[in-house]
Amino acid sequence: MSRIRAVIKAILREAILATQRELSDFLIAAERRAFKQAAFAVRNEESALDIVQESMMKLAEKYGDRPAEEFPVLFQRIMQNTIRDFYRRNKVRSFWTKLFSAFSPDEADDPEAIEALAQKTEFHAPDGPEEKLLQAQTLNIIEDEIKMLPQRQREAFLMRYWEEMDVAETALAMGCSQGSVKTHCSRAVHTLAEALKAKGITL
Amino acid sequence: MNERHEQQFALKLAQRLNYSLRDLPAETTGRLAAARKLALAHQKQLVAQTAFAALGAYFLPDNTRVRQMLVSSLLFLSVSVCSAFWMADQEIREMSAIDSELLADELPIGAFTDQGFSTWLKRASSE
Repeated sequence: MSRIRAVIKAILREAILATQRELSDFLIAAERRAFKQAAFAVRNEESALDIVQESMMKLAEKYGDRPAEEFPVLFQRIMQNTIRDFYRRNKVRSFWTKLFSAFSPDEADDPEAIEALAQKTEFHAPDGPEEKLLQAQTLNIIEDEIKMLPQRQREAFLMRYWEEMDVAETALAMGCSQGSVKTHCSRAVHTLAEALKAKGITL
Repeated sequence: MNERHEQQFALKLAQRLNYSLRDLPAETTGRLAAARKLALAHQKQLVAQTAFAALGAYFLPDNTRVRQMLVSSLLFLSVSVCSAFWMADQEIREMSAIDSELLADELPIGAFTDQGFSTWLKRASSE
């Protein structure tokens, strides 16, 4: 009997460890892209980190028991909702700050200061050869262009080509038809191509 | 730009974006790792494992499990004893009803099923 207990205990522990490992592996692979994606959307690293943390927590708490192949779609969906919540909260907050800034003109967190701070933290030029610097500059331009894309186009583009999800998965994560995913992607790529061409950047 | 060109261009862009992931500041990667660990600590466990868990919990009884098992088995035992009594009582009642009817009747019921008695009856009535 005690041997059966030991075996069952071991199986249980192994099963729990396996699901933890799957989620851990997924998050390790996805977290940096997720951070960048959130940063493209909200243009602020601090908020992007908060969004990623919140999304990870929601994924683990609500869907931690799902099979590993469902994680990408679920995580993307959660991320989008969290980003949308952030926009909503920001709208409310900006309404109140606007209202109160009428009373106190030297607001500590006026939007321009935040933007300046965000720009300062977003620039990470690698010190090294000229080539590397050039590459970093190109990357910055690409990232800026991605930030300027309409939200849905950016989401579709990043999911399809950066997260390497197929059209069906992207459609599921975005809650729209496969046709509109294709349209969003195509538009995003065209816009990016034209914008980069105008700046003299070839890939 | 046709669809193939579009895809090629997009994949090149994605490659470029992947470069950017290498140069994330240590503070950011550290915070991402901390967030990941926190999330893993709150991970919901497999529902499919509940079968295993039930099996495991059955074989690995803790105190509350023992008490629950004891209470449920007592309940089961008392219900089965009561129902056995009730069924036996019901059976005895039926039997006694049949017996009293038989006793009250002039001819015992066995007489009607008796082959010899019915032939005797026929003969007696024809004579």
